[in-house]
Amino acid sequence: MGLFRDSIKREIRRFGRSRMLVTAAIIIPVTMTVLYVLMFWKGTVHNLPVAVFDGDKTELSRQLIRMVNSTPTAHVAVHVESIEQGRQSMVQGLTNALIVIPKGLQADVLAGNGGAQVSAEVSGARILNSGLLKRDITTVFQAFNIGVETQLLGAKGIPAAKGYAMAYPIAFEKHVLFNPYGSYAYYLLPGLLFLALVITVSVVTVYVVGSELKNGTAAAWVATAGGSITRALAAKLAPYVLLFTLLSLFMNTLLYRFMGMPFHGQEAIILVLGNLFVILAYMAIGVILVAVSANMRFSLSVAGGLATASLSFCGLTFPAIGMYPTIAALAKLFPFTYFIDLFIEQSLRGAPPARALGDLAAMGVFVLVMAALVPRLKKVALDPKYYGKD
Amino acid sequence: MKRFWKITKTEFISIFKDGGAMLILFGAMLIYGTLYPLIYAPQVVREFPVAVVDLDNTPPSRKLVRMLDATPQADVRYSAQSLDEAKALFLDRKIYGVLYIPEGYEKRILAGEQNHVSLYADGGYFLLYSDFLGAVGAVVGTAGAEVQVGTLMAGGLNRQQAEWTAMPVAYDVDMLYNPYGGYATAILPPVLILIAQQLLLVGIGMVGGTWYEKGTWRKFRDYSATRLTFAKATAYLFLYIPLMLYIFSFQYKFFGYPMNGNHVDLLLIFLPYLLSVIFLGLTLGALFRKRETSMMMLIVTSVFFLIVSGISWPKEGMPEWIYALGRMVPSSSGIDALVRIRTMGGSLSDVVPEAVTLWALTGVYGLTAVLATLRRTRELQAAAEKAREERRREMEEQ
Repeated sequence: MGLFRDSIKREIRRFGRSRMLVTAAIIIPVTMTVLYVLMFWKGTVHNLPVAVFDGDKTELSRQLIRMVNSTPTAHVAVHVESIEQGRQSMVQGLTNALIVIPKGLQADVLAGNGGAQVSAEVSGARILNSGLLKRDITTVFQAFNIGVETQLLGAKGIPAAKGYAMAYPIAFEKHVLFNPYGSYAYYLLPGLLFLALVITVSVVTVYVVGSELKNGTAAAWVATAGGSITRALAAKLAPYVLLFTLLSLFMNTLLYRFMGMPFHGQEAIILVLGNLFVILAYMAIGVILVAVSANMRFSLSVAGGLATASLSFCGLTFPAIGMYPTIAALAKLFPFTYFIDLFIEQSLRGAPPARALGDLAAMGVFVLVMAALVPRLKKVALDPKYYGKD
Repeated sequence: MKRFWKITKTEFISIFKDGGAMLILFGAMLIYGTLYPLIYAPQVVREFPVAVVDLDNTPPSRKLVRMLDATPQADVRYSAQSLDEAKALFLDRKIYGVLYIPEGYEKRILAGEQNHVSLYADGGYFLLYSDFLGAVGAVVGTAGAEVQVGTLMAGGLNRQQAEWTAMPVAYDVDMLYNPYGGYATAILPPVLILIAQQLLLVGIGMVGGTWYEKGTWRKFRDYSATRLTFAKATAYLFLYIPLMLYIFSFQYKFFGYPMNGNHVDLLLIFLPYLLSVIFLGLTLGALFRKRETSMMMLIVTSVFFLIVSGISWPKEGMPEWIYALGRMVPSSSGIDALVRIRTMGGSLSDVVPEAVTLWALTGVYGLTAVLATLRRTRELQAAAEKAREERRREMEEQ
């Protein structure tokens, strides 16, 4: 145990001496975690500004505008004098949509000549905004029709309750599963936090292993562990496993305790295990890269790039069932894909814990690959010809 | 001027001879510029699997199911006997939505009573959820209109009158600038311009750190900090303007992103964008002492900068001070300006606030770059002075 302890001490000293390492491994991820949490604190998106062109200016058109304004997502911020001006306000980034009420709306409705119409143009430049607004504005137009029809039927002597049932013969109720507050933040925020975690894990791991080669201290590193590369590597990584596990617990605490994210899972420990495994998997990728390339700088570029791309591949932003099959297959090479799957199943969907085993095993494979490359790491660590590469 | 070009030339050589810097500045730009578009290339998800629970199983309920199946979004792949069965399919990721039709659906239609159908969607996949909601909404609306027309015609109206009464105010909701609501069209332009910033920052920081490691700075310690800053910036500007035009013209065309706006307006935004990024990079580069520092510090910020720009999570959803702080990063204004010109077809006059912000950032980071460089050259001058002093003292002692 003495050699292992000496090795750990050596690593902690190295860590403490490097201001850059402390910044990259602790200060930046903690700061970013706090900023992310504050950024998504509200959890839902309300009151996106929209423009209205009211060419009718009647009681009916004003009623429609009020209905638009009372949706959760839309907020009538500008009244424009022309359609052109409304589009301009979208291009200037001031509004997200334009509601067009042509002149004669009320007259056409009363005349019953089928000429009444309204329309909306939603800017598709921002996918979340446009999705929410398209949904809510469509709902408003439908509800507006039902209301107008009920009134028209009322004028014909049909009582309101019956008229409403006639005007709205098939009502539908939406139920959002696994996301009681309909908040996209509950999916996006954890994804972003854990992404920051795995990027940090990747670059720090590559640095702490690779700098031994760059600085030519790898032989001393292995010697401190009594010549055993396994012991040397285990002692080197152990403090960081602890550090990053603490970081992940910090993230989880903020999410579940302070942001009020619901936990539908059966066993919180599965989630902690998932965190540990994803940390180990990205550490493994870092070690594999250094062992194979023997070049810290190159490994940093690749490890950082792979970790960052994990978010796009994991299916949280664009679902895997929509990807090209080749891309969906590539996604399986990223531990993050399994972690996000585990996270969604175990914490939001409340799936049985046994379903996490496959994901944990997949992440474990990365560690096994690293284990297979430990001899190669030893060769690289002990041969000065691999030292000093930049 | 000769000194100016000497610095620019040294910077060029530092970049081109450095495999690491080349990989970041060019390789990564091409790899990411192609890989990310490929991930999102399908743009929308079509025909995703859903289940129906049709407890009525009558001609009108089966018709509703057929209509849902016919939408481009949903593919009715399973027919479950109960909601529990459907939920099990959900947990197995076999389906992404459920339409539930209660018993007595036909009876209520014939009796002129209101029917309630339910849809269940996965709240985790925002796109699928929205699409499914839209599909069911459209299907139910059409089916409802048919029912109404039937009822009203039975009450003595002719078909046209019945149709007008069933939908007194015709409506439609169009998507501008991105007609199919494609994910890539919305998200890739911001990602590409952000990647340019991040790679420039990392690359410049790497070259700066290497200059320190290898002692290249020493050769230039007597140069003016302003000249050093501007000469180095010139090198990166030369390298990146063609690269940007390649990405935002050729790559754009290849992946079919909207190419509105004119090229001059675009260039007039790229100029302050690149300059502010380069000056920010030079500021950081003059502070870093190691090659790898820029990667250790900056890679993790990429996604954060994308989010803080407000392009994927709207600014209305975040605290104002964070959004305002985000404006200090060039990508925030750069993304807004690019989207509004290239995607939405705006002109320079539509992005005045963004252009002003970018020029202001150019000024601020230009100044910080000069100051950071000055600090470095002073440091080296002092070190050189000290060394000379020591040598003189040694000589005197001998």
